Amino acid sequence: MVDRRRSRCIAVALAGVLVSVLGLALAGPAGAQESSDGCTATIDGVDVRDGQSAKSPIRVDADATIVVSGQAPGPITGYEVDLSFGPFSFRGASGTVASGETSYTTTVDVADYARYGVGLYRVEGRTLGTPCEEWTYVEVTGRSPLTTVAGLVGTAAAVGGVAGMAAAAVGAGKRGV
Amino acid sequence: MRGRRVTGALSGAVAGFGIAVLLQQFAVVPLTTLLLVGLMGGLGLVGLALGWPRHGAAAPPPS
Repeated sequence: MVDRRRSRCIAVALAGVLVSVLGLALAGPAGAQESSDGCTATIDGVDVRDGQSAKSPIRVDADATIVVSGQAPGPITGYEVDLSFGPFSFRGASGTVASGETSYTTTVDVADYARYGVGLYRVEGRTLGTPCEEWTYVEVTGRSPLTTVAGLVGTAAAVGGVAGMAAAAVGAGKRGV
Repeated sequence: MRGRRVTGALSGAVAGFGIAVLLQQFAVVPLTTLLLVGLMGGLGLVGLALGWPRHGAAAPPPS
């Protein structure tokens, strides 16, 4: 009886470790994708295609104001720049352009976002009218992750969660409890 | 008995969420839905296993 319980316990734990490792392994980005013909975008002059790997993101300082530019093969009516954070997406910048324009240039004050979190983000830019979609990874540096809202929430969740797991393990180990 | 398993699983999921956010904050990997689900689900299972009772039922009192 005890052996069967132990086997089941070990099997569930191994399954958990496997799922976690798979999540980490598959969380890596897909390889660089070809952009649409005639579509280009830059962040502070760096082509976004140079940052389409999490290992070589475009690095920006937490206090910097970055210049985002995009070019489409035809006339555009506006643009949108989004930042992805897991399943959530935030609008970093958006606007309209003069009639007949085929490009846009906008600035993003990184400090507005850096107090909420630093680290790796996927940034997506798209044009309206003549549709173009470009993306890249951006790493916000120059500020300790533990001084941001996301860093504090993550630390509290990790510490509290591990403490809860330890408490459950200790309680489950007591005979007859 | 069941409470330990539920506590373990929920704590594991919370720990997984925290670790996923910290990995993103320290620029180890980007935070994706897959990473969140993988770590929360995986550590939830680990927590479930840790909360699993490791002893048989209490012995009956001597007659």
